[in-house]
Amino acid sequence: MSGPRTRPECRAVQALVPDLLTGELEGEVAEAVEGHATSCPACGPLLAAHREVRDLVRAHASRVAAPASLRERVERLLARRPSLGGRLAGLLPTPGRAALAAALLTALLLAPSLYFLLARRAEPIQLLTQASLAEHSRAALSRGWRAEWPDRGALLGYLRETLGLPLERLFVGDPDLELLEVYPSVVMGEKGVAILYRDRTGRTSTLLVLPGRGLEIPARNRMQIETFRPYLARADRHNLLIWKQGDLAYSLVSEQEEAALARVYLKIRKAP
Amino acid sequence: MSGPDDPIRSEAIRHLDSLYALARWLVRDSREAEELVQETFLRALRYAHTFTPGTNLRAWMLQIMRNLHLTARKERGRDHALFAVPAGGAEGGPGPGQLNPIGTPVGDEGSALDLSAALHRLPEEFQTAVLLADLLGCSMAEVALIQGCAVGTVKSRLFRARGMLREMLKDYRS
Repeated sequence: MSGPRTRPECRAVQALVPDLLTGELEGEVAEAVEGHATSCPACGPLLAAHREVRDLVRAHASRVAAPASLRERVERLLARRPSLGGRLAGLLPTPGRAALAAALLTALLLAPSLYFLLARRAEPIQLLTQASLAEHSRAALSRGWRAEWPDRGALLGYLRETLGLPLERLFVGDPDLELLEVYPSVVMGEKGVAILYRDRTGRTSTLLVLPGRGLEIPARNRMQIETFRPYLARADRHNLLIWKQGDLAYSLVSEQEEAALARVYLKIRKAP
Repeated sequence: MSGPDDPIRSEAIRHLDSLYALARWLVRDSREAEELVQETFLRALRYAHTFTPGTNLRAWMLQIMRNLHLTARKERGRDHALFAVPAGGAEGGPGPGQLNPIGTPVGDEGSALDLSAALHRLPEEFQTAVLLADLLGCSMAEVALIQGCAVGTVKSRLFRARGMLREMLKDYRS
């Protein structure tokens, strides 16, 4: 490509063209570059051409303001503490993170090794900080906890008032599925309750109930159980069913096969 | 109670329009752009502890968004850059000064190019440098921070990108 011969000073001037066009050259230096370009057959057209392209991009690559709906969503996001789902999702890669987050919701609670495996993306010191805070919160909550609740109403009252869980239904066991234990839990800063059941064969299932706002459950991987369609996941040799009722998220985890887990699910879901 | 994400929660909203404007150019689809922006804010909150208050929050968030975009694009195998521009050019691929004639771009013979198409024909690092500098008015130091390279590299990218755009937009400008 032939063109006007460049003089030694042209190289220095052309190297400064980007600075000039982004407005980062001032005073005498800017004037010197402009002055050189005015009289130089090589640098003049080059500067004019680059300036023209810059102006074209500025004029035609219009800046689009963010839609009001996006602004509202972001403002809500910034205003509230991250949801449990969001924080779990945050540990995972972007594609499919909602599904993975949902699938691992309970597994993270029950399989510490899996938790730390996934959480390697976060800073260990942060994880320890969060785990310590969670344990402290759980211990604090346990101070008001009773080993034996006089009745279901008292237990639901505690869950509502102390944990802020508007739980209205609770399966308290039957001859086939015994309620072994109920205890408060704190997962990623969210107060919840864990309920342990045991069937006649001795196999256990754990139900976790916690605030579900912000947790999106994907439409795929649903298991049809009568008229219900909870999310089905497998993690760390466990089957999990995850669903939402109102503002609460439920996660049922067990080593049981799907059919057996579905029976437990129905008892819980249909509880008075 | 204060936390490491306080500066993000209080100040990040000011950069929403910049983030969205860039996102629209990076992904072209408005819904995808909104998801990219929202994910950027989520990431910013999650990694708030790595942000130093008082430094350039906009550049930090733009960097997050660009990284998210590049990762997603890589995962989707959507790198459709028609111009491979290795340093110094390469045999078999058009380098600076070896651009295809206007109107006959690779795989798109005879069609007219507009600015949008021309920008999207640039290699990603060139396209982003131009958009950051010319669309958002970022300084070259900011662009360097966002792109994770030296300021000298940004200068070179801007210089070459504008040259390429000029060639591609000959008809458009006339």
